[in-house]
Amino acid sequence: MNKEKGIISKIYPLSKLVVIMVLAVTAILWGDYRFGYFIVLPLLVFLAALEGKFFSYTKKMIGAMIIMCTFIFIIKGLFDPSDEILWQFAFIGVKKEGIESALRLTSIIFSLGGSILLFFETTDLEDFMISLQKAGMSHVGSFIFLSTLQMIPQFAKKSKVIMQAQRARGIETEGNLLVRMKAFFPMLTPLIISSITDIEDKVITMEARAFSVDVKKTYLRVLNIKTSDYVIVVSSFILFVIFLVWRYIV
Amino acid sequence: MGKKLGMMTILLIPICIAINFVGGQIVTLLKLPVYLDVIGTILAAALTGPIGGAIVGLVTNLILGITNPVLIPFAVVNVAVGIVAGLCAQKGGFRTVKGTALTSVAIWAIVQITAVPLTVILFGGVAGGGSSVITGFFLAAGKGLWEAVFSQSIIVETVDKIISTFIAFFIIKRIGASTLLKFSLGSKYVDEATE
Repeated sequence: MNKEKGIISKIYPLSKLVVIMVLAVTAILWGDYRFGYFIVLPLLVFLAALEGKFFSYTKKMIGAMIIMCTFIFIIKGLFDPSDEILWQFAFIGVKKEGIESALRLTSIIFSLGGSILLFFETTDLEDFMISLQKAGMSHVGSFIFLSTLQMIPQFAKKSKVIMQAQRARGIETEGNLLVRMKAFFPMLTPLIISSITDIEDKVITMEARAFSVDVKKTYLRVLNIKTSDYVIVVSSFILFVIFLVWRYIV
Repeated sequence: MGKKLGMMTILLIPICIAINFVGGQIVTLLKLPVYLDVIGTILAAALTGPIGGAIVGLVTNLILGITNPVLIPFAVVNVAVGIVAGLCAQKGGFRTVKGTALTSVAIWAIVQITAVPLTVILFGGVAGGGSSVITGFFLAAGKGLWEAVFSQSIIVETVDKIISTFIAFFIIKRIGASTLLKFSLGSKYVDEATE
């Protein structure tokens, strides 16, 4: 928690969110793939590099979107109903309009998805939840979100233990499809039943700390809005208005 | 929000979201040809009704979106599954095998209704890696885009959603009556257990 934060991580989460939304809406409204590929994408990668997260960011970006976008190119390029052929390999013809619409679609996916990825890459989730709560979200919402994030790795660990225990008593987890199918239920149910039974204890613990009492909650962490955060929001709005005027009026 | 939902529901929601995740992970461990990633949504809906189910569906995809933003729009499908399962549960949909079968058909239908247009309109017919191969196959066979995505969706989702619904049904049967009764729809399942 005391680790040195990068420049982007220091920005107030909600200001960052506004910038990202503006960027995404602009990419969708502009509708030109060159904006996405030659402006937004380099910008995002540059910002990630500024944060010192160039490698982890590009890796995540590729992992999340490359397969999907490749398939979009294949399906749009090969099966577009238009006639104009861009390239021809033997009996396979790549359609010009298909490739163009694939470029548009993937540029939007990259700009939108890339911005969201960058947001979470540079935002501490607890800070994000605090800022949402200050903006009026219920503390129940941030509890659900944060406790889920805690619970997923716990569950993954528990399920491995259960798998080993079930194997020890003779359940087959390898073999043909039917055998593996049958193993699914005994692996999932102990996990679910034990967690659901635990809920009651948790309810008592949380009520003892006045979770559902309707008063103003205090925060363990202090999150300040700086002047620069307002400047960022206002300037991105101004740029957006300029864009709208340029795109639709001029 | 806290008062309306009740503490049992609030604490059930994170568990069910984690079940959605772990269900998918166990499937990968066992190398099964299905997803089984909405069991938690269906379970939350069966125990607490449409609102609980919808929240589980929404947050599941938002959290998935942290690492893979492409999945965020598909929250619509997951929320719809939660709402439909919850409405069926209020009508007693998870009490008997027959009711569960009908519920699974309703869930399957809502997945088709929501997922197919999302895939076609937002992603030009592409959803994830593996299933896109099937879509490509149908397109190559000369079908239209809508028809191809719809056929792909029927192949991939049918067995998956039916099994998921039945797993939720069997899990409810295993939960003890004293715990069940604390959930808002729990009493529906206890009557039958004691008879």
